[in-house]
Amino acid sequence: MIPENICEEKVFETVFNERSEQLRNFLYYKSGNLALAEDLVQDAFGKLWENCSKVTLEKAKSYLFTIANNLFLNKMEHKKVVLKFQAASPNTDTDHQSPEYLLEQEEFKKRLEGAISSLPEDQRIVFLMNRIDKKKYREIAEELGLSVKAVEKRMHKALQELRKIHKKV
Amino acid sequence: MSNKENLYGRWISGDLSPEEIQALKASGEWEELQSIIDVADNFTLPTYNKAKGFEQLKRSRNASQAKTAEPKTEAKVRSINYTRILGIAASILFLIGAFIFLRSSETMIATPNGETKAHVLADRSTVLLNAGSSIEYEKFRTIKLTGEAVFDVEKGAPFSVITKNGTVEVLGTSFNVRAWGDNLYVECYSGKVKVNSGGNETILTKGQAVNVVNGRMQERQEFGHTQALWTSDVSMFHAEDLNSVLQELERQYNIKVTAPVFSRSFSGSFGHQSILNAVEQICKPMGLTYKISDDKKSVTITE
Repeated sequence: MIPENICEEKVFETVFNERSEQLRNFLYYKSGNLALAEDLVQDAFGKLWENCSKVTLEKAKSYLFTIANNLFLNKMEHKKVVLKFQAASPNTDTDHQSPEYLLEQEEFKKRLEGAISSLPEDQRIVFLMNRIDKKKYREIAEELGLSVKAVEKRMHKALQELRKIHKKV
Repeated sequence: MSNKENLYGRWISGDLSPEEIQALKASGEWEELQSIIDVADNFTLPTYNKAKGFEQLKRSRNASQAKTAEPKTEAKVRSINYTRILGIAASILFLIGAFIFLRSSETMIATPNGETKAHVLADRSTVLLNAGSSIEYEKFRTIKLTGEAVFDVEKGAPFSVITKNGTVEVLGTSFNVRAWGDNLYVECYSGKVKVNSGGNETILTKGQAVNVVNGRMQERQEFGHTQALWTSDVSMFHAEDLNSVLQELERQYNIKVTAPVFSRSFSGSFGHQSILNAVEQICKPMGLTYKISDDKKSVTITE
């Protein structure tokens, strides 16, 4: 089988549709800055397009993450990251729950956001790629150029750290 | 020893022995981890607009291809110096024009009711606008604010936020400014800010807030949170005019509130998730009765 050439717009567009959001999320987990993340998605795909003849479809995703990572390093001096998330499915049952319970829930969500933001970057990224982008260890390992074992270890450390928010009450 | 390794990591991938599962459950770790995962799994980010992203990518690609194609034609024209000079002169004129035009243009960012928006300034300072608020600026470190916003300011030249009720000046810090009606309320989360109003001046450091009511600056207060509560979907008030609290409710839920004019103040909070709970959180402690319309678009409050 002839490998698909990503220089072709159709193929490239498929890659973009499959990967752009994940890449944007990854950059957000790194930087805590959504606007910057979306700019860097543009830059990374721009680079991929420039070099499309040298990158196979198979290699495209790890290439994108590597490029995005480099672009990010060039752009940012390190800064404290503050991550914000929306709650996916606002519980339809909220009307029947007491305001106190909901406030407690909100308080917990806030503490968790804070704790995630404070995780070391490599643990934070693995944790969020796994939970939000619902990726398996193997996929994360492939994209970040790590071993599955290393991903598992980062996840373990992240959870070890996050578990502490239960003790701070 | 290696079977204890990365226990939580293997818990996620379902790679545990029955004994390990039992041990995690018995120690309570299972439940704690599960409650973290339950909340985290509900986190989402705004959807990325792929169609728009791809369009933008194509546009900038076409633009850069056009640029690389240019030198060929330029080589042919090189001998005719007049056109070149004319071209250069025209571009300089254009640049001057653009400079003057851009310099005098004001940027305005506004959020409709029921929405919030993040905006990054040219110096990478960020502004997070609460619902129904707006900022305007000409120079990016002097911002006019109507409403409420959180500022996370990059170090550098002084940064000012101008409101109708006073000015907040900073060097590099994060803080929230709420300026509705005759009220100005400022919370500082890091660094230092100076608040100026009606000839009074006060300096806030991390964890301090000040309230200006009708031009009168009150005592500094301390607060415990580390980021603006509205960014975590809670609106919090300290002895705030009840009428302005109801206006905030209107802005957050994009609804119409009908109520008599109150001369009372409200201390407390309401969440941004459920209108019923929010109204309850305001009305119950104040002993007010309320009715929410079936389409949840309007609320009537009576004493």
